Amino acid sequence: MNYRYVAHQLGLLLLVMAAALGLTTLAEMAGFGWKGGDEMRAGIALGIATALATALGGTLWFAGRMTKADTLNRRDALLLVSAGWLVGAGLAAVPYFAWAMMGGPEGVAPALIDSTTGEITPERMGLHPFYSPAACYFEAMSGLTTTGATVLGSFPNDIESLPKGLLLWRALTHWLGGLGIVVLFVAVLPLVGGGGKKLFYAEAPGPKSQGVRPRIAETARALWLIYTALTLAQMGCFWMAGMPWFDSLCHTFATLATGGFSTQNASIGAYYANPWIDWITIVFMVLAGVNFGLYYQLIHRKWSAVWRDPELRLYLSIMVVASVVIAACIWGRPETLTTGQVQQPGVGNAVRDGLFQVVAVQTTTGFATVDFNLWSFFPKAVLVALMFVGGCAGSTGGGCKVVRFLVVGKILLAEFERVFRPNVVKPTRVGGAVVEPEVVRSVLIYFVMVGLLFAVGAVALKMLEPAGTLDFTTAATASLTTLMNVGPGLHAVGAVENYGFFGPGSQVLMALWMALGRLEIFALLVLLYPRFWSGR
Amino acid sequence: MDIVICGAGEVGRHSAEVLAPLGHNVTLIDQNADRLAEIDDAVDVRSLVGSGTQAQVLAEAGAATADLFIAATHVDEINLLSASIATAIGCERSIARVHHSAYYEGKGLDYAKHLGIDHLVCPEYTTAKAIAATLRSPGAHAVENFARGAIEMQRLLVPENAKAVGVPLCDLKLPAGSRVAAVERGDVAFLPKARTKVLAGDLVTLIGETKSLEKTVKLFRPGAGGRLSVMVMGGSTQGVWLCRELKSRNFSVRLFVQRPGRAQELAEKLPWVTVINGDVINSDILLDERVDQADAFVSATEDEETNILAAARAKSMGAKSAIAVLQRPTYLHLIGHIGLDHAFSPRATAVNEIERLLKGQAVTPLGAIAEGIANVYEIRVPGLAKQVIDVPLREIGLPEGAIVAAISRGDRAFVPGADDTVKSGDTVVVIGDPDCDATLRELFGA
Repeated sequence: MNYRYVAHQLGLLLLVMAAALGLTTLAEMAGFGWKGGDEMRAGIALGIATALATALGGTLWFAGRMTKADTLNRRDALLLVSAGWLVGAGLAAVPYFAWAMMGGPEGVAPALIDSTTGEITPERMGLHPFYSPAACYFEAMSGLTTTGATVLGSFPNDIESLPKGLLLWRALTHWLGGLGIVVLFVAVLPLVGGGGKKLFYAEAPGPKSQGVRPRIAETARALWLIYTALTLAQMGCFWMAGMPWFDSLCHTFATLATGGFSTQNASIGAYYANPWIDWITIVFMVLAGVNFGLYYQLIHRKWSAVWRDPELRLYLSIMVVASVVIAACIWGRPETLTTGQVQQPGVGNAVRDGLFQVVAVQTTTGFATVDFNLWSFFPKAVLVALMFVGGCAGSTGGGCKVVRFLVVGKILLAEFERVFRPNVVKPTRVGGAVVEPEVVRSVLIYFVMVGLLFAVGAVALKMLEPAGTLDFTTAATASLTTLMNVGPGLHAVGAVENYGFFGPGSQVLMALWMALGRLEIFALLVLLYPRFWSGR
Repeated sequence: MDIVICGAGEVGRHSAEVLAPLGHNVTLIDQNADRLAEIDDAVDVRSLVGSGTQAQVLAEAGAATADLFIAATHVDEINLLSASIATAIGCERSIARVHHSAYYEGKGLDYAKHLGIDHLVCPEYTTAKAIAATLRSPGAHAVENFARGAIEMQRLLVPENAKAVGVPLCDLKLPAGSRVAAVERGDVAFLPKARTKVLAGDLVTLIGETKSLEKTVKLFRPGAGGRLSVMVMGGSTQGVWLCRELKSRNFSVRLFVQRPGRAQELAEKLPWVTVINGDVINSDILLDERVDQADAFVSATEDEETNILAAARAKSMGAKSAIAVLQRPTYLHLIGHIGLDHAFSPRATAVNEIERLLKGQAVTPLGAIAEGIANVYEIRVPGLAKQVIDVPLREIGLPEGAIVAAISRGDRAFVPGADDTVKSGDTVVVIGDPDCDATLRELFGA
């Protein structure tokens, strides 16, 4: 493994992060920070993070500059992507922590460390979640992996009390992580040469691996252009529907990345009075969960390729069926909005709310307009099932990806046939194209790993938290929702709850689970495999 | 006529055997001297050892002044190249035999036109068409194909419960693109008019586009067109062509392939077919697959002994009908003895096709229908037939009782209405009196 070259490239990657942080700093200072007070401190915190990212990135870049290698091998690419995400999330957490260290909402630097014993005082820990580095890391990773789970809770530690600069940074981490920071890196920096392809697929492995353009950098650029165009479109729609422009920007970032961070305590449900906002959000969440390669086909007028795409068809069918089922379940029963308001939904609202929660959960965005935790058992079970499904491969959505379920379904049917007709030769097909046996195997293994990590996560959370404080539903859905990058779970991590009550160990574990889910497990797990390092 | 044949394989040899006794001067080119010597003994042909893709060899064989060049080696690319070269050095007409659908169907490029070849002949395709037609209409008395199989003609007996019985043809709402060409009642055969009523016990001859004919047949024979279960054995080119022909909702096809690699390849290539890897003769696979419930079993491997054996086995195990693909006529007389229903020979098909092309007339009688009441003519419309080109069919003045049953243009064929027109280069299928070919020849300027 060429550590120096990896360090060199990692440095560049962090410099890209630094640029994003720098832009946020400028925006914050120009927009709000000059007024002083909390916004000013947020601007300074962002500035500190920018400086840190620049220093770290610059050092790594400088340290590795003498290397001879001009391309990445597969191991380098995997290491770079994994390190990029783990370190990148660390840097993304710096603004939160720095802001808290400068006093947070109170504006007074708290005596975090007891001067006599040298230990962290428990009272201070309870003040604001961002006093805990683990919580900051959780929040940053949740942003970058587009999970959308937050540690921010009720007043005075709530979302709305956060300075605008940090809210913007939260949303921006979504937007950067949505299509992938490494994909962005490949798009903007042509330095990696032939290694670009390996990087690209290490971050976005999916079973569907056809490039959109012959050159990987062009593919990455095309994807980012489409992404940007969608962003502008949605912002325009929100703004026209009457949402303030800052909220439009942040919610757009969160929607298209299928993230779920909001600027409001009630999530996007704060705008429930305006149905247009709901419908715009639904449309763009659906769009964000579609394979971005299909938009490229659309631009080139290959309508039938899009129309015939079996993954898209299944994705939309699941959505429609689940929405109808849930709408039927919730129709006429009192429901609690995320704002706390209680209402009796008629057919119109039942469809609207059912569709919204289904789309939000299936695309793994994790927005909520209704506290679905208060629904009856069956619709909740449907939502949990949808968490597994996720978006299409090549989208910004998380989950297991629809195409994997398609492949598994085909394998299952073929196995049924093989029971009574052992000699049948039946290649697995998706949309007419034959899926290679290696891909089939990797899909199966992926499902095994998801099941395993889901279980391990749930058990580990139960063990990490004090005995008796965590019920099983909470542990299981927290493990699932972080692994699948959804955001909300059930019970104590339900639609209107948060992750602030977890201990630092649990938070780090869940942050890792998010990274595992976002990188589709193997890129990160392979680092634990000794032979990966030994070179033998 | 001077004819040069390249390739002394099944088709090449058989062509020589058929053409030489007809008085043609045949020169046979092949790279295998032994094989040539063997044919030299049996048939009166000139033989030449060499490669058909070299202009010098072709010139030596006399291709430059020959009337016809037939490329019939077993490699498609060699056939295409040598036929193209033959045309280039001055041969009058060239025919290339191809196996692969990519060349024959010419999707993306008309290979024959591009390479200057006059005709492509694909015996496997024609055979597959014939087998498919037989399978599709198990009750039909006769099935024939025109215009590369796009037009089909069926003669069938009308039972009492048919929808069409007792209804005037004009009220029957026949699907567009198909016609009733003739009706035989007792000993009388006649061409039907619009008011004619078909009665039970009549033998009707239907003609139309292969697809729309299926619907038409249902009117005359209820119960036709159910889903048929067909078993095909053999991963040969012939087997693949047949599976392609049977790609329709009306057939459920199971293909038995012995070699695992080939089975995998075909399973990927033919998604509508259930591919089963196994040995039909030496295992119980037919039993497991319930051959007794199959409507038809077709054996199409490259080995004809295997084909006969497998078809006989399937028949004895209860398959409703058993069909074998045979190359040589050696075993033909056995077919009836061992209970097989049909045998098809791609080689004979190819030679028939070549013979037909050889006649070279613009108006070719294809055969008689309904005991000679009418003939089917195939007419290639030359560019100078000003009387008919771009004139609506109702105005071109066809002989009394004759109808244009089909027009084949480029790669599609259709049954025309009264307002359709004929274009230069079309192939037209006309049904008319047995003695009207002189009139037709005059009319179409040939």
